[in-house]
Amino acid sequence: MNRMMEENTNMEYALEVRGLTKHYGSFVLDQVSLQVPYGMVVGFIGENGAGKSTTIKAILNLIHKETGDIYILGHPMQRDGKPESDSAQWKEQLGVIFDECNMPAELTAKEIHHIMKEFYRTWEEKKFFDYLKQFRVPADKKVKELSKGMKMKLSIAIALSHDSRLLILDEGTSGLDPVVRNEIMDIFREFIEDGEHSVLISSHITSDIEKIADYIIILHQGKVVMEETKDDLLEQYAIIQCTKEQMTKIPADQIIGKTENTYGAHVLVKGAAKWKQEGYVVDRASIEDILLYIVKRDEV
Amino acid sequence: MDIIISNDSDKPIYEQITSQIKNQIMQGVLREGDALPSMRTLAKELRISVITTKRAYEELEREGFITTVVGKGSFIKAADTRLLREENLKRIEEHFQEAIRIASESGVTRQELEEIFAILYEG
Amino acid sequence: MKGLLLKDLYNMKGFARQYVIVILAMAVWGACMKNISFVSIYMVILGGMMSISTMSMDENSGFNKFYLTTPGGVRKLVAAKYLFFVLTVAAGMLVALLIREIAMLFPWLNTSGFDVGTLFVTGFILAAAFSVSFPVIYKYGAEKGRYFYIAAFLVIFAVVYLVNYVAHIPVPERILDSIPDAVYVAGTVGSGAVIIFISYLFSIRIVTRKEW
Repeated sequence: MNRMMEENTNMEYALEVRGLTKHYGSFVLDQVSLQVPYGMVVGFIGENGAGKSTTIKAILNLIHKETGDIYILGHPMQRDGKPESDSAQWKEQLGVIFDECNMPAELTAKEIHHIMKEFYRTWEEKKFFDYLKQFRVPADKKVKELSKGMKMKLSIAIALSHDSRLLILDEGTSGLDPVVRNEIMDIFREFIEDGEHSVLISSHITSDIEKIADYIIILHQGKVVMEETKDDLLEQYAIIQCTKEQMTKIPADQIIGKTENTYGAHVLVKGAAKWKQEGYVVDRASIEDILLYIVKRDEV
Repeated sequence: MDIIISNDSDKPIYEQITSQIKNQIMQGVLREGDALPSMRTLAKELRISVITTKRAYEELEREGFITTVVGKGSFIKAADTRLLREENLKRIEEHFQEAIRIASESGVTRQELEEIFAILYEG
Repeated sequence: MKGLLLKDLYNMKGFARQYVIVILAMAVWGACMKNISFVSIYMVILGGMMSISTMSMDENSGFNKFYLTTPGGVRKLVAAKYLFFVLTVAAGMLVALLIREIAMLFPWLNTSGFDVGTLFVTGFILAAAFSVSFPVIYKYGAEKGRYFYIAAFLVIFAVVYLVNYVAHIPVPERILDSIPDAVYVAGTVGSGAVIIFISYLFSIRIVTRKEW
C-alpha cells in the first residue's frame, strides 16, 4: 500500500488507478497506480517520454490498456479500454484539458457555447462568458484567430463551465506565459477550496507543480518512482555539495542521485536536517532538481 | 490574523504557521474563542498546500492551543499559561544556545556574553 | 446529436458563400449550355462533400478526442455524422429540384435527362460511395479517405451505369421508362438506408477501437 492510501484509507478518491499496464511499441507503462483524493491537486511529472500523456489517455479510455482498474469519481471505467458507446452522465462532472485546444478552428467562442449547451446538461452560460471576460478571450473571434494562450484559456473556461468535479490536465498550461499560468493556478486553488473538487495536472513545468500541488507523483520510464506530498519532497530532500572524497563517505543506499564535476560532487539525499548537523553543505532541492537527479541516475 | 510565510526559511511552512499563531496567542492578538479561517481557506489565501495547513492546525490542536469542531471550524482555546510559558522558555533556551555556539566558535568569552546580555536587557 | 450537427453547420458556414457562388455559376453555365441536368447532379454531390470536409476539420482540431470526454458517447458521435450526410444530400436534392423548377420556366432550356428518378439514383450512388468511405475515413483519416471516396464513387457509378445499360438490352426502353418515379424513389431510398445503416455499424466498431 502506498503512502497516500495509508493516509486516506477511509476517503473515496476522485480518481483511482490500480495496476495500469500498457505496451506501446518499445515502451511500457508498468503497473502504474495513483490516486487523486477529493479536494486535492495532484501533480504528475516526468521527463518527456516518461508516459504521462499515455497514462492519462489510458485513464480516459482514449487508448486501450492491457491491465488496470480505473475509477473516475467512483465510476469504474470499462475494463476493455473502450470509450462509452452510449451517454455517460457522470462525465458531466469531468473536465479534461489537453495540450492543444480541441475546438474546431472555424468556430467562435460564442458558437462553442451553443454546442456545449447541448453536450452538457449542467452547462452554465453565465459562468462561461464570465470566464472568457476574466481571461480576456474575445467571444466573437474564430478559434484559429486566437493565440495559443487564448486557446488554452478557452479550453479551461469550457472545462470549468459545467459541473466539473475532477479536472484532468494533460500539459494544459504549457505554452502559456507566467502571468496567465499564475492566474490559472489561483483558479485551481479556488476550484478545490470546498474540498469536493480535485485536479490532476500533468506538466513538465515543475515550478508550477511546486506551487500548486498537494501531492506529487513522478513517472519515469513508465513507472511510478515517487509519490509524496509536496511538503515532504521539499522539506526532506536536499542536495549535498561536497568533495568527491566526502561523497564516498555517504552510504550508497542513501544516495538518490548524484552528479560530479571537476571541482566536486552534488548528491541528492533524503533527510536534510541530519546531513546539516553532520556539517555538510546542504542546499534545498527543488522539484525540478529531484526530477533531474532521478532521470540522470538511470542514464549512466 | 496576519501570517507571513517564507519559502526560504529553514523552518518548514507548517511550523512557521504554528509559531506565528502561538505568538499571536501569547501577545493577546488572538484570544480565546476567536475563529481561525478554515484550513482550506487559509491554504488558498497563503497559496500553500491544504496538507500544510491541516498539519499546522492538527499540531496546534494536539498542543492544546486550538480546538476544531467539525462543521464549525477551528477556535482558539483558553490560553494555558503554563503551556505558553514552557513554549517561551524553550524558545529562549534555543536562542541562548545559538548565541553560546557562535560565541565558542568565535572565541567570545562567557564574561563578554554576560556583559552583552546586561546591556541589551537594560535597553 | 443537436450539438454535433450544430458544430458541423457552423463549420460549413464559412463555405456557405463559396457554395452559393458555385451554385449560381453552375446555374448560369447550365443556362448557357442549355442543359441543366449535370448541374443538378452536381448539387447533390456537393452536399455529400460537406461530410468529408467536416470530418477533415474534426481530425485537424482533435475534436473527436475531446467529445469522448463529454457525456455524449461513440454512438452519438458517429450517428450525428451520418445524419449530417443524409441531411446535406437531401438539401442538395432540394436545391437541384428547385433549379429544375426554375429552369422549367425557360422553355428553351433542355431539362430532359434530368428527372426525379435520376436524382434519386444519384443520391443512392452517393450514399453507397459514402457508406463505403466513412469507415475508411474513420480508420485512415480524411485525406486518404477522400481519394478512396472518389474511387468508390466512380466504381459505383460505373456499375450502376452498366446495370442500366445491360437492363436496356433484354427490357425495352418503353417498359423501363414506364417504371414510375415512385419505384425509383422507394428503391433507392430503401436500399440506400440499408447500406448506410450497415456502414454505420462498421464505423461504430472502428471508432470504438481507435487509439486517440
